[in-house]
Amino acid sequence: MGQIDVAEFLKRGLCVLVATRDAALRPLCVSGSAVVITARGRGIVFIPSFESTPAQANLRANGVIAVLVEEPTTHRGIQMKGRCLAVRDATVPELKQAAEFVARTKAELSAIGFAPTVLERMNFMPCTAVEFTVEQVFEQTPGPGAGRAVEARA
Amino acid sequence: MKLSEIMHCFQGVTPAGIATCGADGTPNMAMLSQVYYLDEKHVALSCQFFNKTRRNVDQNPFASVRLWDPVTLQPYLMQLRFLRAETSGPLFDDMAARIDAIARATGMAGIFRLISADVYEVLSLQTLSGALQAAPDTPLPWSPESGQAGREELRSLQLLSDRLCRARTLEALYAELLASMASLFGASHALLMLHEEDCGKLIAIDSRGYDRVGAGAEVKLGEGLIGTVARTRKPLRVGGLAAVRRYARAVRESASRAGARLEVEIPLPGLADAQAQLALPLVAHDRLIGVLALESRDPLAFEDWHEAFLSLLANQAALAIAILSDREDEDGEARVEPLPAPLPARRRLFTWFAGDESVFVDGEYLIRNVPARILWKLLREHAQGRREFSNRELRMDDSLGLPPVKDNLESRLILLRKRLAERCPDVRLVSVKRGRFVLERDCEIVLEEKP
Repeated sequence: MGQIDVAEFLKRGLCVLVATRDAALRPLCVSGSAVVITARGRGIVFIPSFESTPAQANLRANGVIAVLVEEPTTHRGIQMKGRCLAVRDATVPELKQAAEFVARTKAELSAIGFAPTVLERMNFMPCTAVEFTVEQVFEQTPGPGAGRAVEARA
Repeated sequence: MKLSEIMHCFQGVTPAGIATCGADGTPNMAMLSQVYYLDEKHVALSCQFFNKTRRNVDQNPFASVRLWDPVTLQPYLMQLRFLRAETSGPLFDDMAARIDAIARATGMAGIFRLISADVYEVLSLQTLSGALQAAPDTPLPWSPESGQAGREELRSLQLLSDRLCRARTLEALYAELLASMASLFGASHALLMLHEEDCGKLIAIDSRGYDRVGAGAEVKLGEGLIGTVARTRKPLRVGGLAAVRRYARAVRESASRAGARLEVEIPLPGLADAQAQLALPLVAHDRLIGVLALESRDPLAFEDWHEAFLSLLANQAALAIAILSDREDEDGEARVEPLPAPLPARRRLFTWFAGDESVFVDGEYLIRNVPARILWKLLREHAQGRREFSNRELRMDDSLGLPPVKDNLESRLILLRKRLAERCPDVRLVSVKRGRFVLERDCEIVLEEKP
């Protein structure tokens, strides 16, 4: 099994997508503003408020979550799966962290040709903080290795 | 809201995200390189690797897909239900041809391939309002919904149709076709390739918009976008090429790490920074005549409507080429003597390499195969004092190896003229009437033969 330093990877400019599901096993895809690792096996994903309501309902009901982060210029990506621990408003220091993450994301999107006027319009704030356990990490770079479990290094 | 209102999202310029859920209730998130629009109720996703997404929808058919408009980044959310995986048939063939063209162009043949075309029913489509801050509406590029634009396109088709009908020679026809691509349809980069049935290749005959005409460049049937179009005889459109190349590079690196054997990367022909390509087969009387390839730096330059519309034009062009190619040469012995060439101030050395039947000029490759044999015959007879030649005598000369029917002689002569114009403008083949031409020169011609 390969290894990956998740916290280090999250310092890149990344797009974030979050999967949850309801009681009927119907999945829901929402965007994420940012992801941070807070401790070994623990993270927070920030979901923009404009679309967080149905995802919050799913998470409060069953807790299962998958978080995908991908670097747009290279398509390198990983997926973290685990369980939701808490859904709450983001704190001021967390919002600052999330804003820094969003700035890196927009810089990446700019590098692949999106105009500043387009990127300025993207709403990532305000956002809801979702604390979750990182129980499994998967390689998500497209190709034959996609979906392979990797070991998260501290 | 209708699926056809977000057609830009199906061009592959921006990737899409797909959430699925296994039977055990664990959700999964993955990226997709492209979602294919089928109709207002159905989309298709390409299955290139038997991955978790596919395993999940086999157990639980529901999926949630997020798309982005490639111009505004407005996101949309589709809720889908997996219906079936097609491994043959028209849909599979279409998607496979597109993926195969990309795979060959990026050295990923055999790895970057379609396993199945997965068809999904669209249960709902939603604009994610709130994702973007309000902004004044930015006018989008031309859209087929615009009645006025549609009428203008129809007028353009009529104009081109008139021009094709009026062309009296193949050379004029090719020139009109390519020039009209830019002047009438805004496709600034166009390449015309003709099918050489005897060698199973396409040969570039003329182009517009590129630094070089590129006459004589070859593409094998099945190779890259153009070769795939020739093999399948179906139009092929690839948008968002920058995104496609990034995606293919990621797969390539991932496959390379996994120890897969990769081919040498073959660059896509034409513009190095092309963002969209559209290649149209030219078919007449069930014969592949050639391929018309268009490129643009605008990732959204070619849409579904353009593909259908320009296919009409391609059919018409193919018929016109077939008719002019089959036209009998004009009889008559009236000879038009060219003006005597000015006395040569320079020498051009033509070398015939018998081994690979090619002609070099001053040590640089000029042409090979049938056009090379024709040129060598002309140069040798010119050295003995002849200036004027006829298509008929070339057709009668068995040593040239022209096929007895559908010999494409006129197109081969056009190719020869283009190559001479690019590589040796001191020597020209100038038409004097249909089926007759003279060899003009502004230089001393020296001939040598090598094995």
